[in-house]
Amino acid sequence: MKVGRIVIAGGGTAGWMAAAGLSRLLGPVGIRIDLVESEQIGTVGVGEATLPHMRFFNRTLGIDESELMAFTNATFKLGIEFCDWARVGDRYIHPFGDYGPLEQDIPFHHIWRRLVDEGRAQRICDFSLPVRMSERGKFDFPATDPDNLLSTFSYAYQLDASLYAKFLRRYAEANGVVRTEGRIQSVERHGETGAISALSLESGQRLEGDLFIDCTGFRALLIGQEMCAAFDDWSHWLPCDRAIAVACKTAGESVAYTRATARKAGWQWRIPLQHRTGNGHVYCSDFMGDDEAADILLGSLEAEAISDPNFLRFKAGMRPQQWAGNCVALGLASGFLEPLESTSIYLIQAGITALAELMPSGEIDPRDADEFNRVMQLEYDRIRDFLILHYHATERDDSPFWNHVRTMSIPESLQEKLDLFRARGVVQEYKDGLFLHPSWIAVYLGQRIVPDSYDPRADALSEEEIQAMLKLPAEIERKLNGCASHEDALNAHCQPFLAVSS
Amino acid sequence: MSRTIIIRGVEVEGWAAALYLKRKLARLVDRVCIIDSANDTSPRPAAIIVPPASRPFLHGLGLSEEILFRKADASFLLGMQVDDAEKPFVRAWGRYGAPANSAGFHHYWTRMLQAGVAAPFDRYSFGAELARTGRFIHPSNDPKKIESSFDYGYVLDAKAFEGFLRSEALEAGVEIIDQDRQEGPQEPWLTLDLQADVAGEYITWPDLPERYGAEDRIALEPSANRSLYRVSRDQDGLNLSLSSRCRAVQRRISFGAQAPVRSGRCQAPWQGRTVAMGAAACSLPDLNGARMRLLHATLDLLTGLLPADGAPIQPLADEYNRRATLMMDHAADYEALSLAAFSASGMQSFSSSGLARKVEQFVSRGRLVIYDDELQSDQDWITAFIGCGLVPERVSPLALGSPVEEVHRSYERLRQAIARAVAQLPSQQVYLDHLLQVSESASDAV
Repeated sequence: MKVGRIVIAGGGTAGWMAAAGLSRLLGPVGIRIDLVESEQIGTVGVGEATLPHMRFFNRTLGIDESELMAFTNATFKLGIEFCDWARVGDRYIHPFGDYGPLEQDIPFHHIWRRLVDEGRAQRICDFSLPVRMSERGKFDFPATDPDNLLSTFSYAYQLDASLYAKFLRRYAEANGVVRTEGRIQSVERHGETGAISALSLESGQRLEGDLFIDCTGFRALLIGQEMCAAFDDWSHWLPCDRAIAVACKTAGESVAYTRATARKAGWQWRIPLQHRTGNGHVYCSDFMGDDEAADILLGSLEAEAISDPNFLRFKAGMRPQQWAGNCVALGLASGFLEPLESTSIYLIQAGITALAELMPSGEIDPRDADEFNRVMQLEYDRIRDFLILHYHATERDDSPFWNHVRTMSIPESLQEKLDLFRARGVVQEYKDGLFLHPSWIAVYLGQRIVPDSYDPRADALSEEEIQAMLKLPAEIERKLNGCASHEDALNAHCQPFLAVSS
Repeated sequence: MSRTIIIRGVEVEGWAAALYLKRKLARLVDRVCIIDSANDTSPRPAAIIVPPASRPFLHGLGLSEEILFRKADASFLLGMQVDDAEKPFVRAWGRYGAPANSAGFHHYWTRMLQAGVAAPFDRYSFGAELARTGRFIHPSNDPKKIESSFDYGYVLDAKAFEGFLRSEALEAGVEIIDQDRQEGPQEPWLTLDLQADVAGEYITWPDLPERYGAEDRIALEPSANRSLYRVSRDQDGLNLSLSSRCRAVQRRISFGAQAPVRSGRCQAPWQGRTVAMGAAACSLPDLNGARMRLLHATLDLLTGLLPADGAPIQPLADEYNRRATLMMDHAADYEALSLAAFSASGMQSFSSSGLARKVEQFVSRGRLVIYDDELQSDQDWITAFIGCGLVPERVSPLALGSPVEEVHRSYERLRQAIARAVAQLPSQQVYLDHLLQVSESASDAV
């Protein structure tokens, strides 16, 4: 059976990203793409906060950034601010960019560690342009000239995910994707091969296909219920299993970073968009009830709520077999990792990229599925370790929840990374995986894991070289003096399309 | 604490490591000492293959291209010629064809092959064409130009290079010590063991011959084409012809139970304060310049993991061992694939799970699997696969957007552009002579 027709079950962010991406990449090949969704079924609307990788996805699609940002009420995002994570009162920003320069191949945090010992430096954040840009409420676009300080960062968006799905729907339908409104009633399977052959809708309509993409969210209608792909439960490492989301009015100017504030039994997000602020409280039901969680969230909104609280239940983990037979899961149907590091849309994108690369041009070959599953497992595993780090590396002992996560056992792969960093500030390197050196350094140091020692080469730097580095914070401030405020940069960027739409 | 590094084992690797550490860690390390093994009479190679990725390593030692020409008899090297009457192939460094619509060229080439209109794969590479014709030019920095699509390494005269490294190292302050006289410190900060024969517990690679031998002799006739080295097979081994600027070398690589060298690697190269490197850490026939590549990759790795005073060493040693052994295993996989191109019995299956998956994915659909700590580039692997006769059975649908006739026309234009551009370039000999003449004039002027 050759793949001539793809059926995507479910719209939402995952469904429409898949439809848009695959129609762009596979459209010229003549593969037909159908998408079935029901307006009666709500979407979770994952991923209001995104990562810089999303820009490359949009660029591949040929999407105009200004138009997208205007349509989705997006703001720029330079990183994530973490409040109260290691200790109550702490705050740090995980930026999308570097710390300091690389001097003689010595990662900067080793030099910073020396400077701290000598009492000549305090915050490593002062050596990061995107952190200071965030803190000062500024924004500019990254430069391409590597000698320019503005080349040391990247950026993402904070956007209305449901509007992003709508935007991509328009794009995908213009690219030939056929949308069908309806609810899936049953799944037809081939008697001998067990492959999915069609989706039957409540309306009586049948959607036949050769490859089915499950974007049905937590229900995992195809991959879970039909193909019985097992779910690897990671809740012993990531115990939060509930979330409440609510939007509120915007108070003051929007900022170019997402905020994640640790709470008694979880954490709370704040995502400023152009027209509203997204808020949510992620918590562990073993340690907190829904009412208390809602009280904490609603009691800490910075302005009037403009939506009813939306209660969500989930379990951290993933399906090792995300591609089973002729069914591929994307988004929440494939697994769930809490949005602490804004990884939801990235994981969808990684799945689409892998699927496009492995899309069968003839018969579906089990080797394609094996490879897809290997790649996605790697992505999930490495993000999982990074998320656990935020919880486990804490000094908080002010609630049973924090006592639990601080003392729980962690994956061996993370323990190795932690031991290595604690011993001498070495960040374990890997080729495939979302979070690279600067991200690990931001969170290690932000969570108060300061290496016991540092690269001895840092001690061998001359005073002249050290003096040059100590000038960096002032250079960053000077550079930022010339940047527009985030609000002004945003307005200028979106204005042409806001004018058109108004 | 006085920081002294002791290096056991001279040869090129020993002196290169000594010079590297002396220069790179000048302000950190008090002494870099090398144990003189003047009595060492083990056979040494007459020529050294330096792959493109190791060029920055040599330049980082302070060895400019001009120095390498003058002191190590360097010639430019663009790749390897598989001398096989049935499947001749030039494995050059750099790009073959050009990607389109997010799909690699090999997918389009496979389509053309299936349609019966493809030229040999190596006819779509500027580097391969340059190598085949014995011409040379430095790559362009402009990515839009076809002349930017290749890379190059060197062939060095081993004896001259070792002698030069030795004098440079001594001038930089590296000390020669005699261990028997206990001239070195009782407890060095680190010891680098580069003496041949893999140390400690031993891991063999199932896809490489258990034993091999390599012997070089100076050829009477200099090679007409220095831009590539030629590899051919006979009944029980391989013959390599390679040329530095003034000297041609014939290398015989033999296999079999009587061959002198075991192939394999040690299980944990860093133990206590001793780090096995080079031939002490891993040994393989080396068709591809892995020896130099591994040396510089492991030296870079080591300098990023140097222990701080009073801090525990074990986590650093564990990390070094994890990554260095991955590098060695991947290099062994690449070596095994390269050797398979010369297998008399055709393509074999591979036991290394990493290599087996690579081959499976490439043959199945032209997908390239790349792991952490690989030393070869993506293109190196693709070229090696196709050079071995491994062609994808299916192609990415991303490469199916245009009719094959259109694809063919487009890549024919590229092929012609390559041929035209290469035809206008000088031979390596002329290019080199010109470079040397210019630098001589410049120094005269100074």
